[in-house]
Amino acid sequence: MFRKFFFLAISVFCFIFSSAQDKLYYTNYPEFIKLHLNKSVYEVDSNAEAVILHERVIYSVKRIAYGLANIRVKVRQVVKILSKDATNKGNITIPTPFKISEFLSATGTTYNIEDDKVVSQQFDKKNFKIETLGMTLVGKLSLPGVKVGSVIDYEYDVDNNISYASFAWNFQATEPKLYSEVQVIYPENATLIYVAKSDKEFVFFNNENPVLGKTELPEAYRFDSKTESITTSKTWVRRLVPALDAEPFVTNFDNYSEQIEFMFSYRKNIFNSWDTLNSNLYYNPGYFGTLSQKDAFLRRCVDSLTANCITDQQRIYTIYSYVRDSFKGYFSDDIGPCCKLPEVWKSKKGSLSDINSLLVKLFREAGFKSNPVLISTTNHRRVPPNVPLVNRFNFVACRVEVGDDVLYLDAHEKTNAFGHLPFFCYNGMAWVVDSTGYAVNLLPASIRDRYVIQVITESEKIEDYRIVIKETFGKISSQLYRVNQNKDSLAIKNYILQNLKKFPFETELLNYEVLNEKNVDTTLAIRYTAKINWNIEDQMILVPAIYGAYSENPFKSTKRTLPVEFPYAKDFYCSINLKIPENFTAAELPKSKVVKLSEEDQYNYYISFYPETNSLVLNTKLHLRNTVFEVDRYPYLRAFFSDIIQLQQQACLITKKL
Amino acid sequence: MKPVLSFVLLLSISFLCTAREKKHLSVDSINEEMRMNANAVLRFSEREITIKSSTDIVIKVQYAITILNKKGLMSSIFQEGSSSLFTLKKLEGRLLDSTGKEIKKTTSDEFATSTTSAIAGFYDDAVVKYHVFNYPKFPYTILYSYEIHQNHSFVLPPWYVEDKPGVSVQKSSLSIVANGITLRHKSINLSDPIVDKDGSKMLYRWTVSNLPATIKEDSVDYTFLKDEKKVLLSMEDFQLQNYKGSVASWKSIGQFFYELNKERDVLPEQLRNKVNQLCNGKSEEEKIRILYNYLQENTRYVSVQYGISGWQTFDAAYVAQNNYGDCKALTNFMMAMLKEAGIKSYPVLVKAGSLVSNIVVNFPTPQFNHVILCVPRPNDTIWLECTSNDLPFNYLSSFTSCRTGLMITPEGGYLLNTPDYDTTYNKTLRTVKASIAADNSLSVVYYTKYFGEFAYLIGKQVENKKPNEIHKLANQRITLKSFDLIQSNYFKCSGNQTSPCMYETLSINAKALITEAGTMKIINANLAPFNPHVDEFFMERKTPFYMIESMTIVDTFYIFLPTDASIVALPEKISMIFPFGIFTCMVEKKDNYLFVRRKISVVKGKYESAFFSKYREFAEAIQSDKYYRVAIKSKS
Repeated sequence: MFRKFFFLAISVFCFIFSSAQDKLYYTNYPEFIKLHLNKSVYEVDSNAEAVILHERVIYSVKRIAYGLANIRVKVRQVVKILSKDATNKGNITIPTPFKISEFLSATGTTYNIEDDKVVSQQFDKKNFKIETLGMTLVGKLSLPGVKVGSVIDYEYDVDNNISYASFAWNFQATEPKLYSEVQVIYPENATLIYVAKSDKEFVFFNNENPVLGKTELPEAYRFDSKTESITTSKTWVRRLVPALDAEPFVTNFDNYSEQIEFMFSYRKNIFNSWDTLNSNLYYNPGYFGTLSQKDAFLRRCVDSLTANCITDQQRIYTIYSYVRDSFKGYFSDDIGPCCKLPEVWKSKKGSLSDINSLLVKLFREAGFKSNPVLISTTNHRRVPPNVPLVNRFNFVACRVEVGDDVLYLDAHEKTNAFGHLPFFCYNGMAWVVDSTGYAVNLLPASIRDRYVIQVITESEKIEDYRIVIKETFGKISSQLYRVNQNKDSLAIKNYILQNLKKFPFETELLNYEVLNEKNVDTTLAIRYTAKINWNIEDQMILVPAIYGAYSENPFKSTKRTLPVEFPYAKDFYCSINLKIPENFTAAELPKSKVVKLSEEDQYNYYISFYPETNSLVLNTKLHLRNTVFEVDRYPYLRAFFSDIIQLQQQACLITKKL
Repeated sequence: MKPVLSFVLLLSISFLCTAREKKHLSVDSINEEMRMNANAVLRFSEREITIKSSTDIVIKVQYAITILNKKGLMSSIFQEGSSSLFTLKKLEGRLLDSTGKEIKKTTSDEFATSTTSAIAGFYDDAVVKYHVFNYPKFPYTILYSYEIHQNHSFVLPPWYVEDKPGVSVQKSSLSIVANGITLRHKSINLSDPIVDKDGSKMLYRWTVSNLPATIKEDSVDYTFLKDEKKVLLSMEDFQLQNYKGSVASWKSIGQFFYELNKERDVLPEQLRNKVNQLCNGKSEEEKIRILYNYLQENTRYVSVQYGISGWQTFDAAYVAQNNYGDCKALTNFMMAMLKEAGIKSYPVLVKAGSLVSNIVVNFPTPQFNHVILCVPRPNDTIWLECTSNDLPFNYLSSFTSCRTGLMITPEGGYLLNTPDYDTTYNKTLRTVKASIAADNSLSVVYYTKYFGEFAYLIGKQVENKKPNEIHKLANQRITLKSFDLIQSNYFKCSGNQTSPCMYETLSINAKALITEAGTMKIINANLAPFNPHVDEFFMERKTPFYMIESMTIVDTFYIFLPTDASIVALPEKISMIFPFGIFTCMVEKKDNYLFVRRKISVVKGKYESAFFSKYREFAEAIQSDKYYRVAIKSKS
């Protein structure tokens, strides 16, 4: 009990102390610096290499029009250097969105303790360098005198004459932050939409920054400030933010890092609800407005394409495969089509949005219910259901209904198969643009890769022992293969040879063939024959699970802070039927076993020896149908994989027949 | 016919040929030999250098390359740098379709410009111009022409024949017109040039033609170490802004660097006092250690290289004021501190890189990109890498070790070799003890001592890191298939070690090493799997391969068995000894434990392609578990 109170008292003290530190920055800056120069361990992270002591960002938005804005960005950071590696924080680069940005100022000071006194070194402005990097400018400065123990304080001010009207600031970074403040000042007639991703709720204060008045502050809060009558100012503060640690099997860390994201509508109230966003997308000719208009030309094209089709399924497939195979698409994360659809048809090329919008249009002309679907792919943050952040979407797919079935299709890439989207599109909430649009959930668990391997003995003569292996890829692995095949034509042979290396014998690849390589709508298969030299004298130890679903437990750490995410569901089947050479037998066999994480997620290991045919038969099966495992499930998931590896490593003893 | 006339005629004919070739750049005219294994074909490349004086050099370049397919796209990108020491002019590009018909032309304005050093802490005046036509229809041909105007003669760019893997070369040539100056040149893997004379003008020409494309061989192969076809060039007497020098010998090059950088070692008084205070009453080695430690604690690497400052150091006061500098500035600063402490030291220029990339010793030219500091002493030599905050005292990493450097002294330059770290230096000594638990897991404790590069890299990864990050690192370092890491500890060996040295102790619970089969237990006694890198198992290798680092791993594993266990099967012993490495492994039963003794050793060097199948055998044997599997049975 005493311990409990003791720790509670300590944490309350730290909390009040940290609030006082934040206040000190504003009320007695020299004391603030001195305090931190004498401090080498921080409660927020006792092993941090650097700590952001104070951070303030001001976005002043002057004009907004057509998704672009004039935004002046002022950033100030005060950083405590705690390790040698962190001295590089004294080298700062300032990015800009376009070449026409203007650097208004860049200043910096390094503070150190020397002979018990605080000494400061100013950054010499003449050393500030501006360089061109592609279509952007980069400002660079290096602060003098930075070493372990230093506190650096720098500020820069950039006028981005043109910038995107959506922007974001990360509260959470690779180093912990004691205080991070973001202020947005914008014209009163503009509409600001924001999404704050944080574990903490932002407490609203009516007055100016409460840091000056309060002794205790929440870890997240916001307030509005008085400004000139024609502008609005809103501020968010996040305190005591821990650093974000990377972990494997996380689709996108941005989904978990604390961030605040802003977006402006350039016409009032366009994007303040999903309905208004949808109306704009549905009716605006700059987006998908033209899809609802009849087009006699495209109608004739569809009629001619589908003239010989009998069923709806045939019509759908014919239209899809024609667009995919005949058009040249390129990836663009612009969700609005670039060209008019008849032009796309005629030129046979277009952006992702052009191609899939055309597909929607053609399906509609053929009488199907079809709509564009906006998606945020896995390399983007997921879409928040409550706020219509249109800039999160970076992919346009096609949704079409045929009978009771719904298909999601992408025809912009020739390696895409009919019937499903690339796996990176299954990233949670997507938006179907319709007269009354609606959200759909494209979950990773809804797409599954089914991989099948069969190994059989073709010739059991010891001097000419041959096996035949057939690997049938799943729909996702087939597509990945086809994409990579374009890069390296020898990849498949290398892959086969690497697989043969798994056999505990000397192997020689005799022949191989790739099946369905060109037909992207079927799963790929490879069949290869190898000669095996058993090289067995009296006995040998054989691990029969030559092909494993996983070669090692992918979850090495015993601890986990973020959910485990797999990009898609997985089935893995392996059947091995090995004839043991004459005069030898399987003397000792491991046990068959099933390990289950749940009914959907399980691994089966069945092994048998058939004396009549002298055959060793192993059938293994992995079903991993769930794709998200919360942190509390992690120990079970890890143990499940440990069991799989244990079973895969089971061995049997092959000995001479008595 | 006078020789000069013949040379001019030759040049004229050559240019006429080039002109005619340009008219016939259709893809059809590429023969089968040039297409084989090729993703792109260099149709022609002409580089013409006119040396008017030591401060006026013009390099005219024009080339055409046919891109046959998607894999050749890298060859379609044009990029060329410029800075205050050499400017790029008259850029022009043209795009031809497969028939050789021009379909697009671009001018200087359409070439994009970008800094070469976008990362924080790197400053220079170099920019790169780049351009790409992005034409989607293969095959097509691109032509580029441009001029480089160089205002110094300190370095003349070497000429490389662009015979990269997947690129065949129809014709490539270098011509040089040198007016009243002495040109030095060295052909490497190429024949000597045709040389002619016209009054005070000397004329040189190298030509190669019809080089078929080679196949890229990835594994254990570093293309830039390959036997490139190149020509090294220099002017015997050169000028860099107001500084003049000579490349007649390494000594004279050293003399030039000395003059360029001399009298820049004056420390501010405050720092001089600090040095004296730190070194008071210490031995010479202690002084060097203390000052090196001071350098590492108080400075950081920031590259500032504008114009001549690429070769000329900022003075010591600049570093003292800013606490940062590049390799020259930090080396000069350290040298100045040692001088204040009464210790002589000398900068040594090297060609740095993780892979040994030595200079051409018999062709004195400034072939260097880095500088380190050497402190000669009567009985030993101390080497200091002044740009690193964490390298141990008197230790050079693979970035600068084992290569020839040029020591800069007031008397001129002297070649010398930086330390060579062989198999006895980069070493891992590991003892592992394991006992079998009731659930067939293994309780394993590793005691490992690392030396040399191993120790340096581990030390760098764990120093100042959070316990959870160290735990993560230890997790990544364990190569078993399934395990629970219980404890990990890293600490530096005590005392003043002659090379980096680290201890590692790991305690784990290993899974999947013991399985049951009927009445037996099968043990995989490989408690530390090691995986040498070999990707392209099927390739019949045509080019030499390289082992870049010597190293030795000596392992001893003890696996304690149940008291009533008897051996059913033991693996065969293996002993492989090749010039590039050694692998030996034996598993024995001793008393109540399995005893595994393993040695893996790799010797750095270049090995002919004929050895590659042996290397593959070697790597596969090391990776195989069959040398470790043991079957035991309970006697009861």
